Amino acid sequence: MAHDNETMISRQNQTHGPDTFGRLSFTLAPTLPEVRNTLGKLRRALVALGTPDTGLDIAELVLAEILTNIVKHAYAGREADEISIEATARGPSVDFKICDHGHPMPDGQLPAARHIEAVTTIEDLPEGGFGWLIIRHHAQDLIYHRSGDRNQLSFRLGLGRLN
Amino acid sequence: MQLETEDLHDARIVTVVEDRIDAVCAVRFKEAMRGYIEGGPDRVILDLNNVTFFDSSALGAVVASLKLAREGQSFELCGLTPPIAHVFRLTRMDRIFTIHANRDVFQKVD
Repeated sequence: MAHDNETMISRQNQTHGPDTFGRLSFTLAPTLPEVRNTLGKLRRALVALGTPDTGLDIAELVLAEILTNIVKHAYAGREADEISIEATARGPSVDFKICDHGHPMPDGQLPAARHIEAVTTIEDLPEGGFGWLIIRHHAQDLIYHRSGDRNQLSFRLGLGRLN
Repeated sequence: MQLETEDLHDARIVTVVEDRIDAVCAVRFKEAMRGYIEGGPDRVILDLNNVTFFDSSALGAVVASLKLAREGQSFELCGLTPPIAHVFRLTRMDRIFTIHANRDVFQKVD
């Protein structure tokens, strides 16, 4: 099967507005340019479902953090295989399921959110590790499951205000 | 990764021309910032007004830039769009950086 940016959008219901219900699925090769490309498609698909701007920004940011982690850590530069995304829009929120066949999470668990200490020096500031803070802030019902050689992450994003 | 610079009095303003800083370009961005900060004037200001997508990779590159400032040199930010301001608030980096609303404050100085 080709890895080339297949996008399927099916709408069970053509009605726009808060009750819009739609299911989106994407597959991508695990590379950073493909992540960027897919985020653009996801954003356009969510626009078509009537998602407000703030919700688009949340979805793009959280998906960027998750997909970038999969490319950098689960696949660690290996370009074989693919990542699949399923998104089901339910009124003001979207349920996501993201699967890959890369390495499992360390210790089989999701990383904790990392906060900087209240008092820190500039030299001691971390330059990474903020991705899970962003993900955990926005993602509700975040569940990681390893099954055979497959990672599956599921969560829900509210598409309300950024705060 | 397209950046523009303008030197005004004792300050250098670096403007990100593109609308996103992400994992694709964060390393190149960081290396470009190193070139503008090292040997640069006492104030280097990064104008992010054109940037609407900014993730944790971008934040890491901006933190790395702050660490590159020598003693007596400041690295400041301006023009944070709402999605960037959100990332700074959430990670508490808004308490670490000097952040200006926009670049006008620098251009009016004479």
